[in-house]
Amino acid sequence: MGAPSRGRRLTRPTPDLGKVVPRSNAVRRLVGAVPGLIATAGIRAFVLFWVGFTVLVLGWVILTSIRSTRQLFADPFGLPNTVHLENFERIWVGSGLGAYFGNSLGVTGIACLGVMVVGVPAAYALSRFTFSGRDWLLTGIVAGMGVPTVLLAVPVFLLLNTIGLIDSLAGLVIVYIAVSLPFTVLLLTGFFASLSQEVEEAAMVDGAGEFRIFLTIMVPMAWPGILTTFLLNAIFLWKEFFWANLLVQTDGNRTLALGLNAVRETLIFGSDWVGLFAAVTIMLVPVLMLYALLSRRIMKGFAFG
Amino acid sequence: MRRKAQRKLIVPFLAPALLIYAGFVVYPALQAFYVSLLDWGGFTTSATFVGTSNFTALSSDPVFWVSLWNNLLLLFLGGALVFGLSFLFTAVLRRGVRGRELARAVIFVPNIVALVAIAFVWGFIYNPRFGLLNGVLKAIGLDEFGSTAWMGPSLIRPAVGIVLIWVFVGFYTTIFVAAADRIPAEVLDASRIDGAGDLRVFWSITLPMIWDVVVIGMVLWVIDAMTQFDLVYVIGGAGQDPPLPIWTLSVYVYQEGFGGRTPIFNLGYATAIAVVLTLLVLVLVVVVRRLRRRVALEY
Repeated sequence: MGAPSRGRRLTRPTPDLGKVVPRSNAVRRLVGAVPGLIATAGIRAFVLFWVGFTVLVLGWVILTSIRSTRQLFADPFGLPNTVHLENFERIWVGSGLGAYFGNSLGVTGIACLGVMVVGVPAAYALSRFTFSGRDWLLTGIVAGMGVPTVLLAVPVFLLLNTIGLIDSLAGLVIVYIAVSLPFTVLLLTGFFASLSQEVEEAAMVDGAGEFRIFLTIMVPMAWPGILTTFLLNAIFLWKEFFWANLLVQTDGNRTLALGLNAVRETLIFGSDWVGLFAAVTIMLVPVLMLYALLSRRIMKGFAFG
Repeated sequence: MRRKAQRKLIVPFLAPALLIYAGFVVYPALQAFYVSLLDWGGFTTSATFVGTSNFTALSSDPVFWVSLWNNLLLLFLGGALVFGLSFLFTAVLRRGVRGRELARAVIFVPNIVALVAIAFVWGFIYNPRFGLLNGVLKAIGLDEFGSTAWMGPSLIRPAVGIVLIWVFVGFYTTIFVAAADRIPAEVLDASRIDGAGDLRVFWSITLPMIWDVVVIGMVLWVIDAMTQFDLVYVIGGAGQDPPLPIWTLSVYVYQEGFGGRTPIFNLGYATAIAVVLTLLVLVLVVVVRRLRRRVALEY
């Protein structure tokens, strides 16, 4: 990331493999390893607890979404004895979560496509073309990741108000594209920079133009990276709360995260806890399914540096 | 020749992204510095230029200091816990450990879930009357703790802190494990033959080798911790103000500018808080980036 810093000191020494453990005799080495082994076992047990806790919480939420309220309080940890799918119907239709779901799907989908349409060519130019000011531009865009959202709140609200896009899903989409650009460009420039020169040069020799090389060779080669970036943006925007909360005013324009927050009070006052968990499940399941299919790809996508 | 062909594409490739970015990020960010110098009581009323008086008012505003304190508490105390736990997890989730892929996938999951949803679920866990936590405490015989008000004023900070740690440990473990995976197997195997345990190997070899990624992680943590909004905003419930003991600067900006049960639209003052927050983030990021290694490790 960026130019190499001129830090004054080496913060960590270079590892010296020979000194990890003194090479004395085998017995001392074995005894010396015991505290390490106990520590490792302890941490592993903790990781297991952490993983188990996370799975249980999510599983419990999903199971509770099909309980009856009576059963939730009589036997909160047991398996549901009857399946109450009407919880979902009540929330989807009665509380209007279906409409919010549709809004979220549309906004997330269009914003993610939009940010790729503008972000992929930009990242390509910033990583593979040579022109003056390139690094400066790239740094300027990536630095956007550090701009606190609240700094932009008042001016963006004003701007959308002026161009008549306040309280509209179109306005939300534009803001989402803009604020997703820094992360998108950071990831994509990394992917494009890692592609080999050779294929590109071979295509040049074959007489392909720059644009054709980009579209028919480089984009397909970077496809895994493009897909990963798309998915990460989709996950972030699906759950985005701040901008939606700031810019959306009318009920019909609410996204799922907003809608969930709005129905919460009503459901709690009506003691409809199972309905609440059905609502959470509606928000959770699409993204969990996407994640289950593609978590490996997503994990790899985080290997920046 | 190649350069010339590329030059024709530079503008069409960059222009759309730069226009959107300039219009909706750069320009608003610059405009914010101007807005912070105004006394402005709402979008429909006119603003008066008041110079730096918003900033002088901030210095004697107790809510500002509480919010800043909470951000710093999260940054340093929360950060120590998040990074400490992520290091431990990375140490034991080394290549070849059984169930590793499942473990790292599950640990990341809180990050894909909306914080609104997370706030509900933990709200139910912490509920004093029928919450899961008190239910478990009663079930294992700890009746005297079985009706604790976890979201009460004295415990709400650690209670919310635990939720944030649960989320962010997943994120940073994922980054660090991905970085550690790029260390060649021979390097790690060599140390293992010497009988070093997972922690020893992590501390002496893995951590120095992934240090640059750790510093990137710290930069991201500065941003995450200093700009935390969602969880604090929603955990108290919709339609009511977030509990004051856990306000962060971002929450304060929102409350001052747009929020509150009766919005006050104190736009200039709100933006002044945001400007201070931005400068703090900037300074912290510059400081943290200096922790990078001067010499790149080749491996």
